[in-house]
Amino acid sequence: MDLIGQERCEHVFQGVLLLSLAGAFGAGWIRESISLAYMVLGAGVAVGFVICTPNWRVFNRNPLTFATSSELAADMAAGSTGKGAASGKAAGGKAGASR
Amino acid sequence: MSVRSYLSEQWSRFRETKFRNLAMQVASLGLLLSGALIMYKSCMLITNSESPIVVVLSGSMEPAIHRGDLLLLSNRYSTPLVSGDIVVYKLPGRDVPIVHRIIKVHEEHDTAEVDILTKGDNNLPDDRELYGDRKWLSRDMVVGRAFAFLPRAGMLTILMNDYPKLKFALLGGLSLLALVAGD
Amino acid sequence: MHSAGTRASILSSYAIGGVFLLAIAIAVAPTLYAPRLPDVSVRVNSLAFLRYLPAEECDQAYIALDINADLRPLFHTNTKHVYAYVTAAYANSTTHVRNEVVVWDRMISSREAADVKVAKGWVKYSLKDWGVGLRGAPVRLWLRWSLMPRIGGLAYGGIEGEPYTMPVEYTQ
Repeated sequence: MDLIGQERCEHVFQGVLLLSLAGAFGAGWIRESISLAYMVLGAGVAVGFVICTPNWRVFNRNPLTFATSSELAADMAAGSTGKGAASGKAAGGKAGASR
Repeated sequence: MSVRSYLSEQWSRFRETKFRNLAMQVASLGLLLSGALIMYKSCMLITNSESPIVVVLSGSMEPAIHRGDLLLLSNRYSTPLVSGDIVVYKLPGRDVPIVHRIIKVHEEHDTAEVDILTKGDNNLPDDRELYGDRKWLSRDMVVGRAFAFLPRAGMLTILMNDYPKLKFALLGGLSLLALVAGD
Repeated sequence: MHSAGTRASILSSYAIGGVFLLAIAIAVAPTLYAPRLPDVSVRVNSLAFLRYLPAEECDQAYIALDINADLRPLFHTNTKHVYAYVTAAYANSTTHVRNEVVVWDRMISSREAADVKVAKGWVKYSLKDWGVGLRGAPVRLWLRWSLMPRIGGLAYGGIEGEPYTMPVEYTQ
């Protein structure tokens, strides 16, 4: 999963969890059954896990582009800000991946 | 990753840990434990009860309360103890607290002291037999009145009570995990 | 969040949070609205005897009650049981200012069983005083309930029934 995919994945899971919480509470309230409420919540969580745990292609649409060493050398020589930001992003990505 | 390779990795990490790191982890484990203790003692202060959380060990209050259920107690009352309240009491000379329901309250004229009689919902007779040579419970034997209920939350305590070895296995395992685990 | 393992662990902690959140919602929600009070009437139908019980050195009265209590409004998602009970409350000027004795009780486990109708039902527990203070005592009857939740706070309530005055002399 790439960085943007990771963020999206987390948001998707939060959304699924909140929706299933609301559904679980509503169903439990109407049918007056706590076990039903927890079954609904469990089903929602299971769906969330299926969506978010495997490394689906949807979450890999923004691969990192790493700066080449020659580009980095040019950066350092010029001290330009635009490319500095790009290389910083790459470095951040690396740090994230190596943890 | 197999369990074995995971364990061997953890072990090698543990062996590489410097003394300073080890000391840090022992300290943070201690912090965690003392934090829990402070929480519990604060609960005691707030509720004015010597044991604000009790695990029900007997089935004498079934079907309302089962073995392993958790009760939160308070010993600070906005209203006086009345019949029907679920209370926890400790008899002098007996360690195990008892969770039962009040069925009689008699408040004395001059001293405002109360004589209390309790009974378990699932028991036929009242608790006079348990009291021994006394006829009534007095106010100071009541540890607290139940105000909230968590089902089955004390099951682990019940299991540890029934199998004492489990307690040590669990404690040892948890401490080891806290020491070995990276973060 | 980069590997499936860390994702699974982070998502599990979210899920556990959800489990607790649902429990809190279920425990708190019924307390946010005031339920309709049950329709209740309770009175003493008849008195079998009022006597001195030498074995326990106290007064004892044996009464029959008429109970008409529709406790169905107390049942909601978070109600496990309702313990319904009748207390006799009285004061006597000599020894005790507040006396409360449970004379009848019933554990109600479902809404279907919550419409309690008892006609001339002899009490489960005879009314025994602490000492000898029952003669002529004005007794206030209460039908009370103790709501046992599936999870969360315990709730108590009660409605007063018709008062009753004990005979001035022992009947036996």
